[in-house]
Parts: sequence; C-alpha cells; structure tokens
Amino acid sequence: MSDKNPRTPLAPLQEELGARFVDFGGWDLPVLYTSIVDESDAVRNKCGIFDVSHMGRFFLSGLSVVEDLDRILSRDMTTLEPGKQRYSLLLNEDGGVLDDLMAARIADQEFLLVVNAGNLESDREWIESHLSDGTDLIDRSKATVMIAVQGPEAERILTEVTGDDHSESKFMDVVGGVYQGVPYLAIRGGYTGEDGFEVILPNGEGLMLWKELIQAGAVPCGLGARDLLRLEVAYPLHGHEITKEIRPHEANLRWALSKKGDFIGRSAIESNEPRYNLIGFAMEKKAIPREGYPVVVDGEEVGVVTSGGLSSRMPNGFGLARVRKDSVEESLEIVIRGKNNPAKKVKTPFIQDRVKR
Amino acid sequence: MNIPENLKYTESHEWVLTSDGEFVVGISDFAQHELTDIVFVDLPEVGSEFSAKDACCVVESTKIAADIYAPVSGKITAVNEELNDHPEWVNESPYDKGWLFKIEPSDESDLDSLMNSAEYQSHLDSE
Repeated sequence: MSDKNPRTPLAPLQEELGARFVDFGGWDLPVLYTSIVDESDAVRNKCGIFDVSHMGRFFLSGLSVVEDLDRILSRDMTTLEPGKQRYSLLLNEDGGVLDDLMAARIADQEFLLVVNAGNLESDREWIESHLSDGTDLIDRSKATVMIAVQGPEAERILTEVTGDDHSESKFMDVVGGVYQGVPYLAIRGGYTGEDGFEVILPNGEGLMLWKELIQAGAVPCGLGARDLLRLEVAYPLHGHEITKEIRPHEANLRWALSKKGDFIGRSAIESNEPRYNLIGFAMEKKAIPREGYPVVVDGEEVGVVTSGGLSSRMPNGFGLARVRKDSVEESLEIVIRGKNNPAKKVKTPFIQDRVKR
Repeated sequence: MNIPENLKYTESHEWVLTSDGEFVVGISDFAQHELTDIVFVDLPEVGSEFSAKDACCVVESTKIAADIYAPVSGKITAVNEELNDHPEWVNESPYDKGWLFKIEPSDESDLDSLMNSAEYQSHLDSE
C-alpha cells in the first residue's frame, strides 16, 4: 500500500468490509475482501460487485466524433449503433497496443470510452492529439463511480435495488435508469464472462448503490477475483497479454480489427507477419503458473507465461502464454522455480462465457 | 492473532515445535492471514538438507508464491503430504493440521536464535 496513491470514493465502505488494498495502475484498490476463491465463486454462482471507478471514463462528442474514433480505434465505429458498445483497441502507428477499451455510442454524436486506469493519462493525450477541432473530450473519471454487478443474479439484484427493468437488454447494450432520483448509465457486460452490468453514476449515489447491492445479496469482490475470472474466459489484460510491443494479430485479437477503414496502425499490422501466438494451457499436475515463467518445448524456451492462476474451475492451474509463431507442439513445459512442469495446450476460453446474447 | 506459547518463531513467520531430535515446522497464524487463500503447497523432498534461512518450501496463495525458510540447519525427515489435497489446512489450522515438514537439526544451538511467543508478538507489533 502506498501513501501517495489515490483511492476511489468507495474506499471508506471497502475498509469497513475488511478489504485489503494493493497498488494497481497508480491506485490503492481492494485486491480481496475475504478470499479470492470465494469471491470468484460468488460471481460464477450468484452475484458479485466490483468497484471499477479507477477506470478512465471519457465522454466524446461533436459532429465528426464518429469519423475521428473510426480512425483512432481499431474497430469499425461507423456501424456501431447508438445504444451499443464495442470492444476496441487503441493502436500506435507501429500497430502496437497502447490500450484496450470499451467504446459505447451513448447518443448519435456522443461516445463513452472506458479505458484502463494505468493508461488513462497517456490515452487521453493520444486521443486528444488525434481529434479534429470540433470534437470535445471530457474526462469524467473523478466525478463518477463505476460499479460492475456480475453474475447470474446480477439482473435480479440490480432491478431489486433500482426498480428499473433491464430484462429487454442484451450483451453490450447501453441502458439507463434512475436511482435515488438521479439518472445513471449502465452497460450490459463486464470483465468476468458472466451476465451483468457496469453502472456509472455520481459519487454520492454510487456509495448508496454499493451499500444497497450488498444488502440485496451481492458479494463485494476485489481485483484478485476479477483477474481470475477474466483469465478463465481468456479476456486479455493490457500490460500482460497485450502491450505496446505486441500487435493485435499476435494476441488472438485479429477479430478486433476493422475490415475496412484506415485506422491508425493498420498498415503496420498488414505489412508485418505475426511473430507470436497467444495460447491457453492447462497444467497436467497441480501447480500454479505465473506471469514471466518460461515456456519450454523439447528443452528449448519458446515463450513466456503472460497470466496464470488456479481456480475452482481450473483446479490444476492454467494460464495464457505468448509463444513463438513456429511453436506448434501440443505438449509444453512450464518452468516453475527451476523445475519443468508438464502442461498441455488447450482451447480458449477455458470456460464458456454466459453473457446474455 | 493466535501465538501459542509452546512454540518458537522466526522473523520470517515460521513456527517450530521442538522435541527430541526432530522439530515440526509450519507458518504462523499471522503469516497464513497475510497470505490468505492458500491453494498450493510445494513441499521439500524428504532427505534433502538445508542450512538455516534457506528457502526450502513454497506456500502459494491465489496471488503470490511465498518462500518458507528452514528455521534451523538440518535434514527433512517428513512432510505433511495431506496438504497436497488440503492446502487450505494451512489457513484453517496453521499450528496443527497445517504443519509443513519435520526437520532433524544438525546443530540444536540454532534454536537459540529463534524467538519465544512474547518476542514474536513484539516482532509483529514492530512490523
């Protein structure tokens, strides 16, 4: 824990709940409340809530906002309908991944971009430097909180607390409602592979909502559970699976590239053959692979673990690894504390997501 | 925080139950609480020898892998193999069912450098 790092407006409530704080992306955030295993199980089986207020929330508007974002982001923004959200990448000219983000078209000429906390400042500078004169960017990260309500009971619990019916909405829909007399914005989705919502609302009402969701049966969950859950569905985490040095087609993200349009980074991707593959693997015998552990085939180092862990659903240990493109063996070894541990390549996601399609 | 009086402690939070010719070693209640969620224990091999303060065992929580250090120099005579199936015992019962290994000390005077329960309590207070 650092004295210098900021905490989110929900921190006092989290301290009361016994949260343990760690440094993440320049913030002090709860890594867990009681147990990472129990919290991740709660999300898979019932409902968990995460404070994701540290993430950046940029609101962009203007007459040329669609064209601007269509060039700045890797996905086609011209076909994104108002009321829908799309996962996208922010690439540099070299095709390297500056960040990954969610782009929601909240009105005809207005977008919300949700970016990673650790990249907030550099993302904002990059985006602003590529906007045309008529497009405004407002950073509302500090004035609002964002709470992710995740799990098979997320809809029931959110509706119980807010009184709003969200049953018509589906994955990646932008929905709205009113809580405590104040309008909120919610997007159906999240970072766990479960059905759920990410709710954005002013700080004061956010505190109320956090308390009421817990009273209604939601389990407060920390970053540890969030990381394990996203890994089970093989969602990438910037700084791990994707970095400035990695191009999207080297991290299973070819699908996140627009087929048309001239987005930044496109020509570099097209003119460079991929150097790596991102693969999923499972340990043959119980062991915990962790980021940075070498991946070996026939005594030769072919890659590195980018994220790893062990969960109730993957009890022998599992992870993602960046391996050389020419490495196609199904049997691998993960070097853990100097010892080679057998693993096998497995298809990702490790478990099927249950978002509402 | 539970700190039994009949045990000796290291600064790195191992406990030692001393008896004739063989010491039982585990991690303290404080250590298990700090680690939380112990999901895997990588035990030493029986027969292997370590010097005091050598890393000889690894206890892994969901988030981190923590080295466990030999409290005294000696040879491993037994390990708690039940932890392979029940690593959570280190959390639930750190001083009993969650013991890690037994070590036959090569020099019993190594014990003199360990703390008693009152000293360990002050060590925790000062951390």
